[in-house]
Amino acid sequence: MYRSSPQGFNVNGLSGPLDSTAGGTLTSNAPYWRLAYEHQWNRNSLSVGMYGMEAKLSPPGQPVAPPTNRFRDTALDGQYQYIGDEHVFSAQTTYIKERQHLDGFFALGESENATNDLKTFRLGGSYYYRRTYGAALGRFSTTGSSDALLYPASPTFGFGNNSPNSNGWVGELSYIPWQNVKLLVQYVAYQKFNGASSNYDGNGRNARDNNTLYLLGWLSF
Amino acid sequence: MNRNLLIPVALLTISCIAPSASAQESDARKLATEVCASCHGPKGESISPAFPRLAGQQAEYLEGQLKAFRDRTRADPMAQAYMWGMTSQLDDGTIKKLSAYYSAQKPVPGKTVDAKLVQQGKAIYEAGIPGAKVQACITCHGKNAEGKSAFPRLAGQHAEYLVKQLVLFKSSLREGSNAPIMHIISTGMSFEQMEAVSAYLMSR
Repeated sequence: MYRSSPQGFNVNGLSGPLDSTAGGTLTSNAPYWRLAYEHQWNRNSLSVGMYGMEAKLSPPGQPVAPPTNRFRDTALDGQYQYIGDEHVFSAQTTYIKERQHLDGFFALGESENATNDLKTFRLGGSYYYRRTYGAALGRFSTTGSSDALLYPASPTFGFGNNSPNSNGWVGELSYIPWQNVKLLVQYVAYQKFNGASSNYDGNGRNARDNNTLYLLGWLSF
Repeated sequence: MNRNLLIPVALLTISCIAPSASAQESDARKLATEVCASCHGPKGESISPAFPRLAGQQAEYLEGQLKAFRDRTRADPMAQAYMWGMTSQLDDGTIKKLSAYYSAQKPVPGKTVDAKLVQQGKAIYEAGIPGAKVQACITCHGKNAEGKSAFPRLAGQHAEYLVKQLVLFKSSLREGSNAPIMHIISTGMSFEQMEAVSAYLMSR
């Protein structure tokens, strides 16, 4: 069960005590549920489950009062893991379907539809050799209802055809020289970004222009 | 087209996970069921042969091994990969409580996979291999392989784990505490004999 802490952001964007000017706040308890089946055999483990959450939020910058936005997430997930002496392999997937009742946004003219859907899919696998050299590959995809007011066109970050659809791949190579140090190279490649592969923002920017290379160092102590 | 906006970037993230749960957590049961359980099972009844069963293990043996992991004197590859990190924040008091927790758990019942191999293993366990100067295991590990103080319980342990330990003793990759004795004993054993005695121990 989640609940917003008793403070919010007032209209000036400064944090302050919860009062009628606070916004972006959970307006009631937000129940979270999870049900999973787990099975282990030899060096393998498998988990398949369902989970979900329901939350009511006041629109950012608006008083904590109706009309609010209500989000209901229902999801499936799964994980498989193999832990050997030389080889370690794991795979994860999740699919989240979110039903959005945007009464708050709709009343303010910030969404075209009173209800929208947003679906998220993730699938990924990783492999480590001798717990030292690793590789990982992941697929991500988001699809949802088009909404001209919620997803407006604007340069770079905008939505040329008012669709939130994005998808692509994440690839990663890692090296763990010591158990508390991890060095990795990660590349994120977008095939679709904010609704389209090419000219997604209506200003000539293509999804692949957002491809990013990360060099990461991770240290735990 | 603005390609400069999201240029390739280099980042250095430093995450600090200290002090770990172990330093602050005095409740051994909580530590065992929330941390150690991921590999060893909530009551030390691990399912994967990569990780030893700890339920019913001798407290003194567990204490010695946890300290050997922490001091890095037990340095076989799996110890380095898992237990060095897991034990680094444990103090002596927590080690003692954890050892007592596992030794108080009910041991996992034995399982026979290959009855013929079990019989061969039983002979080695009870009489040793006189020609190869391999002492009988029963002398230290007990009639029912239940162990005694620093000599570990072997009954019901994963056979694959036991074979691996014998190989590590033989090659001197596992050191610390009783390792010198086990090095001498395992040196006289063939891989097949190690498999037989381990199959017998898992069946107990």
